[in-house]
Amino acid sequence: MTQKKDMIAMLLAGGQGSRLYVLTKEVAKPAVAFGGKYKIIDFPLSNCINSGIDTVGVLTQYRPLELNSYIGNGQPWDLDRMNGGVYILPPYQTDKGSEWYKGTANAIYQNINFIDRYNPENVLILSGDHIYKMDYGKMLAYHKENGADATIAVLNVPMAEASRFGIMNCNADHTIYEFEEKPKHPKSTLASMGIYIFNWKKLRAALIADEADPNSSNDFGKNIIPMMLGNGDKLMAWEFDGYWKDVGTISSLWDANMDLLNPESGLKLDEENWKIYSRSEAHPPHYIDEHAEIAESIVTEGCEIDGKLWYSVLFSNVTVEEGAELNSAVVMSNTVIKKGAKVKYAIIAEDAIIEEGAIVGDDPCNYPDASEWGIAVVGRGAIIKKGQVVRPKEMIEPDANRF
Amino acid sequence: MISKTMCVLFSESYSAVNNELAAERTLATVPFAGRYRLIDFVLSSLVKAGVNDIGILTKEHYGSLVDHLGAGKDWDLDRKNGGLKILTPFARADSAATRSRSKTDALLSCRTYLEKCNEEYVILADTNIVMNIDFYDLVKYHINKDADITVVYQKCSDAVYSGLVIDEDRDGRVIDAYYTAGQMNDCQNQVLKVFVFNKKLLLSLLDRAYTFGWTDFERDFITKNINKLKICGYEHKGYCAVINTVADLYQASMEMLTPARRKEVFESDTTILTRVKNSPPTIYGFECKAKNSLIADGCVIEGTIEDCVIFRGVRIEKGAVLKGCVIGQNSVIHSGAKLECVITDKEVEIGADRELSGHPTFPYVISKGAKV
Repeated sequence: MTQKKDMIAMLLAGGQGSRLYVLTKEVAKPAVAFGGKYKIIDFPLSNCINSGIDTVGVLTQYRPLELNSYIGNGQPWDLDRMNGGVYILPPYQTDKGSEWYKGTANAIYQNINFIDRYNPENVLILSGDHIYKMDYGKMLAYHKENGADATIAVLNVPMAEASRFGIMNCNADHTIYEFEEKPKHPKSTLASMGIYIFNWKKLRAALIADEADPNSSNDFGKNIIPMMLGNGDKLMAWEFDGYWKDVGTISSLWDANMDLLNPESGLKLDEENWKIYSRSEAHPPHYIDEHAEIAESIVTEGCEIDGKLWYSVLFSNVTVEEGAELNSAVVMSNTVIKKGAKVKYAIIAEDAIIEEGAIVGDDPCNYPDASEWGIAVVGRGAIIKKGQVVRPKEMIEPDANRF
Repeated sequence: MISKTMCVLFSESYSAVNNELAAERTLATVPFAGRYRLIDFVLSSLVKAGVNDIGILTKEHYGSLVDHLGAGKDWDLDRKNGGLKILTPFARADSAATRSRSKTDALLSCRTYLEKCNEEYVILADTNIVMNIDFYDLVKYHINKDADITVVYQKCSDAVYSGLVIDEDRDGRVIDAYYTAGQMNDCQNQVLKVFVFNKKLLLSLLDRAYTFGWTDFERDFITKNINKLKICGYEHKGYCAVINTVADLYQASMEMLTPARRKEVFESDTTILTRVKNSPPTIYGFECKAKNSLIADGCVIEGTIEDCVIFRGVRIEKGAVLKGCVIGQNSVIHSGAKLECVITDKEVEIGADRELSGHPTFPYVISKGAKV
C-alpha cells in the first residue's frame, strides 16, 4: 500500500511551444535551455522539492526523448525516492483504444489511476513553461486556511497587458466569481499563472464530468475552472508577487535570460535556501584567456573565452575565439564562436558553429523601423558558414549546413 | 571490462608532510582546480575503468571526505553490490593504540574488507595525485606479465624528489628499489604510489607485516621482496602531479592554466567527476578584467584577476586586484585589496585595501574561515 500523500504535483510538459519555432523543433518546450545551466523544467521541479513535494508526475507528449532522458530517475532534484519521486507519464493504450492527451484536463484525466495510488488530499497542477521561484507550501497553507476547493495562483499584471492573459475576477476576499480567457475589456488585473491546487475529490469528479462532455476542449482554464464556478465550488485567488515569466516566445525567452544580468529584475539564482537544481555534466571551471574582455555577462563551466562579451549569457562548454564579439547574445551549450564572428541580439542553440567572420543578428538602434528588427535565432547543431550573415528576426533551422 | 579488480585508496600519505590545507581535512580532500578535490582524479579513473569495489582508508579528520563523497552518488558508486566504502579506523575513544600510524597498519585494519570482496587483484593507490591513469591497461599489463606486484612509476629528472626509485631489467622486472632524498639531475624512475597486487599475495604479505612489525610500505612490501616475488614496473607516460605541500599545490594549480595541460587532464575520455553543488553560473560585472584564469561557477567577478584559479561562490569586488592567486570556495575579496601569490582556503574574507603577497615557491596561505 502506497503511503498517503498530503499533496502531489502533476506537471504538464507535453506542449510543443510552437512559438519558440526552431528551438522546439526537436525538443519539447520544458526541455529548452535557460540561464546558463538550466532547462525550463528545472524551475517547477526545484520549486516542488524546495516546497516539500516529493511526488511529481510529469506528463509528456511532444518530442519526449530529451525530456525523458533529462529527468531520468529524478536524482538531480532529489526526486529519486522509494515512496514517490518523479514519474514520466506519457499517453498510453487501453483495451478501449489509445488516444493522445487532448487537452490539459484530459491529460490529468488519463492519469487518475496514478494520482489515486497516492490518494492525496490535494493535487498541484503545474506547467513546464514558466521561469519563477515559488513556495507551493505557502499556497497550500492559504488553500487550507480558506477551506478552498481550488486555489489559483495569480499575478497582478499591468492593465494594458491584462487582455493577453486568463483573468480572474475576484471579490474583496479573493474568492473568484468569474474567469475570463484573454478578455478584450478586462475587469481585473489578476492574471492566472497556470498554477492550481485542487481538492483531489472535487477535481476527480470535475475531470470525469468534463470527459463526458463531447463539446469540451478538456482545458483547465476554458472548461474545468468555469465548471467548478458553475457548481458553486469555492475558488480562491492566491496572489504571487515575485518574478514570473512565461518564456513561450523567442523574445520573452531572450528577455528572461537578460533579466539574469539585471539586479533589479527580481530573478536571482544564487539564493542558498532556494536553489534551482539541474542535471549537469561534469565540466572543469571556465577559462578566460589572454585577449578576453568581459562585461555584464554570465559564463558557465567548461567555457573557453578569448573574445569579447557584453551583456551575454553563455551556457556550459561554449568556446569564444579571439576577436569574436558577443553583444546581448544567449549562447547555449557546446557552441563554438570562431575568430572574428559577431553575434548580437541573438539566441544560438546547442552544438552550433559560427564560423570565422560570420555575423548573426544586429543592434536594434540600426533599425529605425522596429517591425524589421527581432532576435536572430540559430537552431541546434546549425553551422553558419564563413562570412555568412544571419539577419535580425531570421531563424536558422537545426542542423542547417551540417550535412 | 577490467578483470576482477578492487581498489583500496589511502586518504592520507602517512608521511610527515606539512600542508596547511590538509590541517583540518584529509589530503584526499584538498581542493584543486576550482571545483575538485584531489581524490576526484584517481576516483574518476577508477570509475572509467569499471572498478566497482573501492574502499577508502581513513585516519583522522575525515569529516570533509565523508561530506565530499557521501554514498558515492556523484561518481555512480552508490551500488547495491560493492561501490564506494569509506573504511573508518577501528579506534576506541580512550586508546590511541588502535589508530593507524602507517599504511601497513591501515591495510591490516581493512583485512576483512579485502577478504570479503571477491576480486583477484587489488589496486592500492594514494589519492593526492592529479593524473589520468588507465587502470584497465595497468591491470592488463599486470596480468600479461604474470606479475605478483606491479609498481607504477614515471620517468622524471625532478631535482627535489624524495621517495622510492626503481630500476628495471629489459623485461620490465624491478631489480632495484631504494629511497632517495638526493638532489639528482639524472632521469629517475620515480614511484607514484599506485600498485597492483594479487590479492592472495597481499593478504599473505599482511600476515608477515603483522608478524614482523613492518611499518614502511615501500621498503617492506616492495624492496624486501624483489628477489622473492615478480615485481614489475609500469610507466605512466601522461601528466602527473603529486601534491604534498602547498608549493606543490600552487605549482600544479598554475599548470592548469596552460591549455595543453588542462586539455590533457580534463578533456581526455575520462570525465573528471566531482560532487555536484548546483551553483548558478558566474556573473561578471561592468568593470571587471580577467586574464588567463580558471573560474568555477557561482562567482561574482567585479575586480581584476590575472593568472588565478577561483573556486565556487567567490566574490571579488570592484577595484580588487589579484595576480597568481588560488582563491578558495565562498571567499570574499573586498574592494581595493591587492593579492599576489596567495592561496586562500574556503570562506576567507580579505578586507578592503589589504595587500598580501607570497612567492611562487612559497605562496602565502590563509587558512579556512580567516578574516584579514
